[in-house]
Amino acid sequence: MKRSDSGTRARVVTRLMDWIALQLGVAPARRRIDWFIRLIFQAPPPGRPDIPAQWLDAFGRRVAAEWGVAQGAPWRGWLWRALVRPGHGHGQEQGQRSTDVSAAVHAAVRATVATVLPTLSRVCAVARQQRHHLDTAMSHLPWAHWSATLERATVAAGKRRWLLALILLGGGMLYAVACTAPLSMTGQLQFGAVTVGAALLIRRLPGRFSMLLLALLALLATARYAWWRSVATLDFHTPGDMMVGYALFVAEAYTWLVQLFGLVQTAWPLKRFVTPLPADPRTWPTVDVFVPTYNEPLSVVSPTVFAAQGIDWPADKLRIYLLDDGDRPEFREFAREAGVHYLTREDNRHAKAGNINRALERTHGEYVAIFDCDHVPARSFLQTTMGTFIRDPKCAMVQTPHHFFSPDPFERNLSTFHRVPNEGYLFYGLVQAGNDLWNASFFCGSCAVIKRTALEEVGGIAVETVTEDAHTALKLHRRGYTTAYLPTVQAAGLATESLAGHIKQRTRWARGMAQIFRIDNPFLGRGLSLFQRLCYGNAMLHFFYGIPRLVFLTMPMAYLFFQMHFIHAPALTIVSYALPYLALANIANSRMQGGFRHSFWAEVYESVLAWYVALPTAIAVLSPKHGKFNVTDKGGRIDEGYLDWTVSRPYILLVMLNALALTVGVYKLMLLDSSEAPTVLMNMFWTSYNLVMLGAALCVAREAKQVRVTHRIEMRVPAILSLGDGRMIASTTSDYSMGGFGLTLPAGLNLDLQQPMRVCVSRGEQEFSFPVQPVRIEGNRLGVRFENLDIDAQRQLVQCTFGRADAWVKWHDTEVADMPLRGLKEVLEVGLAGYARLARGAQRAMRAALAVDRTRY
Amino acid sequence: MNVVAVVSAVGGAGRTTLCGALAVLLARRRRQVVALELDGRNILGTYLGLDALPGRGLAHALLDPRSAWYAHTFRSADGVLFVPYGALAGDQVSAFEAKLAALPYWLQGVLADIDVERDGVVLLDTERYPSQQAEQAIRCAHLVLCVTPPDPAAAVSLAAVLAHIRRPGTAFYIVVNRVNPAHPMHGDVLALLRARVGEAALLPQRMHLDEAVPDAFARGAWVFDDAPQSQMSHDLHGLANWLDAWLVKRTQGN
Repeated sequence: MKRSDSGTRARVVTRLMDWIALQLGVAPARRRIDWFIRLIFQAPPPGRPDIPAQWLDAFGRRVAAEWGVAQGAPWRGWLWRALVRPGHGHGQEQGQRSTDVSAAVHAAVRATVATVLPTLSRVCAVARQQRHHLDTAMSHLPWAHWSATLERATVAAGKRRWLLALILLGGGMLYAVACTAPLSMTGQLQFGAVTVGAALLIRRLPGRFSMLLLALLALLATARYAWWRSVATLDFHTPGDMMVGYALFVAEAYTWLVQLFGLVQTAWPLKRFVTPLPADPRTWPTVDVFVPTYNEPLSVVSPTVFAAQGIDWPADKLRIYLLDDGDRPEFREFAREAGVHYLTREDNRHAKAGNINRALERTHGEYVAIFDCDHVPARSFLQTTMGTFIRDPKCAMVQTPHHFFSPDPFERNLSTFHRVPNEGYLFYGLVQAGNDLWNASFFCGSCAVIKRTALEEVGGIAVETVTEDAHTALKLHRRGYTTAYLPTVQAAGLATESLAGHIKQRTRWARGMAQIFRIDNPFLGRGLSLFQRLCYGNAMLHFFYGIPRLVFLTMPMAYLFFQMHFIHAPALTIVSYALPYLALANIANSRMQGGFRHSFWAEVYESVLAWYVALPTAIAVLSPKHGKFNVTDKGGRIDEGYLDWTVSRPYILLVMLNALALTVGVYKLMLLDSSEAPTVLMNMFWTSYNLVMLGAALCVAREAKQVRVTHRIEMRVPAILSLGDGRMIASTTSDYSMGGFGLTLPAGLNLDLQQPMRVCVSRGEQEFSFPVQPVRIEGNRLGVRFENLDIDAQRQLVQCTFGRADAWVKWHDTEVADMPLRGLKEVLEVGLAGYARLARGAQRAMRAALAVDRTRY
Repeated sequence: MNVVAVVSAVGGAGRTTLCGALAVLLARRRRQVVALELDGRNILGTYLGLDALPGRGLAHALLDPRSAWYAHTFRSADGVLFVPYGALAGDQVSAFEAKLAALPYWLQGVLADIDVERDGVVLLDTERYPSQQAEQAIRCAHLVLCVTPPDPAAAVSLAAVLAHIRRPGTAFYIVVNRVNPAHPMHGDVLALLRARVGEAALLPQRMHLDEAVPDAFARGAWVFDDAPQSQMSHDLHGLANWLDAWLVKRTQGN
C-alpha cells in the first residue's frame, strides 16, 4: 500500500508541478533554474525569445567556461569548482588547494566583472543616449529666435524712457524683496531649484541678453545668500566662535564684492576693431620702439630686435632702441651689427621704469612702443594700433594682449597646453575688453604704444610701486586721457619657466597692486569716473585673494578639531542657501567666461598662489615700502622631472592638516551622536574639496621634464626643400623654432640625410633660403637644424616666422568648450594626480636618502 | 580663340619649356589647345612627345608656296595640336626672315586658318626678341607672357626692350623663371624689376630652378608627371591655373 501511496503522491506532485509550470509559463523540459527565472521575469509571448533566460544561460556558460565546470553538472560541482581549481588530470588538487582558492576567487571576480561590465556599460550607453536625445530635442527649440525676440523687446522697452524707469523701479523692488525674503529650508530649496532650472534653460539662449539674465540670477542668489548670512548666522556663543565666524564672513564678503565688481567689469566686453590708418604714409607719426633689457641672454633679445626691424612702418619714421641696463659689450656690438640704436645709463635706479624714463629723455619720437625683451612683435603691430591714436586725439595708450607661445607652469605640468585656456587668457581676452568699455584698460608693461606727450605729462613711467605699468595708466586716466585695448595678438613671448618663477612674478604683481591701492587708491582722489574706479578697484582687490583663500582652506578644521561653530545655522539650511548660490555662480561664470577660462580652474590658480601672495599683499597695504620676499628659484633647464619641495612645502602642510581633519571627521561620525552628523559631513565634504584643490597645487609643483631648449611653435606654410643635387621639393612646414624647422614632406621621397640642404620660406613677395642640417626623419616628417645663420639670415628667419601678421591667429582654435561639470572632473583628476605625484616624489626622496646612508659603510 | 605669345628678351629663359608645359596642362584641363612653334631651335615637339625633330613645318610653308603648313601638324597624347617650325638650313633662315619682314600679317593669316573654339587657346613659342617671329607673334597676341630669368644681365636686356614688347590693347605679364632663393641677388633683381615694371605686371607665380625639369625631359616625361612633388611641378600647375582663370575671364568678358 505504501508503494502505491508513494506512487500516487509522486503522481499528484508531478501533476501539481505541471499545472504550476503551465501557469507560470515554464517550459515542460525544465530545470531548476527555469523556475527561478519565471518567478522573477514574466514569460515571453509565444514565438518571442526568452531574453532573461538567454542572458542567464550565457552568464552560466561563461562562468562554467572560466571555472571549468562541465555542462549540466549538479550544484555540488559548481561549489567544488568555486573552491578548487580544475586539476591537470593528475590529481594534484591536494597540494594546490591554498593557491587554488585565491586563483579561483580571482577567476570568479574576473568572470563576474567580465559579464557585469558589458551590462553596466550598456546601461551607461543607454543613459547617455537618452541624454543625447533630450539635448537634441531641446536644441530643436527656436532658441536663437527667442533670444532675438528678447533682445528686440529689451531694446524697444529701453527706448521709452518712462517704461524703462518703471521697469527698473519695479524690477529693483522685486529684486530687493526676493533677496531679503526669509524662507524655510524647504522653501529655499524649492526656490533654489527653480532658479537653477531657469538658469539651465536660459543658458541655451544665445546672445548677450541671456548672459545678462544669467548674471542677474546669479547676483540674486548671491544677494540672498549674503543677506541670510549677515542677518541670520552671525550669532556666536563664544569668543573663539566669533573670531573664526567673522573671519569667514569677511572672507566671503570679499568674494561677493569681487564677484559683483567683476560682473560689472566684464558683463559687456567691448570688441574693439582695428582703425585703419589714413592713406598717405607721409602723415603718419614717428614711433620709437623701446626694448629694455637687464640680464637676459642675447639669444632671447635678438629675435625681438629683428622682429621690430620688420614692423611695417615707413623706415624714416621708425627708430628702434635697445635699452641695456646691464651695459654689456656684446649687446652694444649686436646693436651695431643689426643696425639699431643702443642706449645705456650710468645707474640702475628704479629698474625697468628708470631705464625707460632715461631713454625718454634722449629720444624724440611722437609715440613710444614698449616691448619686453622676450616679446617678439608681429609686422602688423603698428599698422593695427596707430589708427586708434589718429582717430581719438585724447587716446594716450593702446594695449595689445600678452601672448605666450610656450606653456606656463600650469600648462606644462598639467599637460593642458592648447586644451584648456591658460591663466592669462581671462585677463587679456575678457577683463581688459570689459575695462575698455569703461575706458579703464591699463598698461601691462609690454606690447603697447604710448603717446610721448601724455607720458611726459605724468612724469614718465611711475616709479613708486613695483607694478609701474598699472600705476602709470592710473595716472594717465586721472589726467583725463583715454586708453584703448585691441584684442588682436600682435606679439608673443616666453611664459615663466618654472613654478617658482611664476610665483615670484605673481607675488610681485600682487605686492605692486597692493602698494597702488595704498598710496594712490582708485576709489579716492580726482579724475576718474565711477566705473573707472570700479574697474581699477577690482583689478587691485583681485590680488587680495590670498588671505580669504587661506581662510577657506583652513576653516573646516576649526570645527573638526576645535568644535568651533563658525556659522550659526543648521547644516541643511546652509546647504539650501549655499548650493543654489554656488550652482548659479558657476553657471553664470561658465557662460560669461567659459571661452576664456574653464570652470573651477580659477580655484586651482588661487590655491597655488594663495600662500605666497597673502603676506606680501597684507604688508604692502599697511606699509608699501616693505613686504619684499624672495622665492628661491631653481631655474634653468631640467633634464628630468622633479617635485619642487621648497615651493610645495605650504601645500603639503595644508594637505596634512586637512587629511587629519578628515580622519577626525570620520572618527566623529562613527563615535559621536547623530545630531551633529550633517554638520560633520558638510565639513568633511568641504575638507575633501580643499584636498582636491591642494592636490592640484601639488600636481603643478611637480616640474615636468623639459626636453627642448628652444620652444617649437606650430606653423603651416609652404616651404621649398632645396637638395644638394639641384632638386627642389615642395613641402610644408609643421613647426619652427629659433633652432630649426619641422617639415612635412610628400610621400615616397628618398632623402640622403648627409647632403647639405636649404629650406626656403617666403615672407610676402620675398623668399628666403636657410642652410640646414637634417637631424631626424620619421615617415614623412623631417626635422632640420639651422647651420650657422649670420645676422641677416637670423633677421630673415624671425621675420618669416615670428613676425608674420597671422602668426598667432589660430592659437585658440584647439581649445575645448567649457562645461562646468567637465571642468570639475578635470580639476578632480588633476587633484588625484597630484597626490600620486607626491607619493612618487616622496618615494624617490626616501630612496635617495636611504641610498646615501648605505654608502657610509 | 585666345592667342598667347610666350616671348623673352634673352635666350635660355625657358620659353619653350613653359610653352609646352602650359599647352599640356591646359589640354588636361579640357581646353582646346594649339601649340604653334616659331622658335628656330625646333624642339617644342620633343617636349610634346615626338621622337625626332620634325623636318618640315611652318617655315617651309612660308618659303615654299606649294607646301601647306597644315600638312605637317601633330596631335599629342593630351590632345594638343602641334604646328612645328621645321628644320631650316643656314641659308634658308635669312630667306625666311626676309619673307617674314615682307609679310607682316602672315602669322595672322595662319591663325585665321585654324578652327579653334571660342575658349580655346593658341600658344605661340617665339624666337628671342628682337626678331621677326617675336614681332609678329606679339602683334597677333591677346596676351604676352614675357619669360625672364632673375639675373642682372637679363633684367637689363628686358628693360631695354620693354617699351617695344608692351603694346596697348594687349595684356602683358612677366613670368620669372629659374629662380634660386639661395642667391640673394635673385631677390634683389626681382625687387628692381618690380620697381621698374610695376606690381601688376609681375606675376606672383614664380618658377624655380629645379633639376627635376631636365631630369624629367631626359626620361621623356613631363616634370609634373615624373616628379609631382618637385617645386617646379607646383609652380607650373600654379601658372596653368592662373592662365586658365585669365582665359575664363576673357571669354566671359567678351
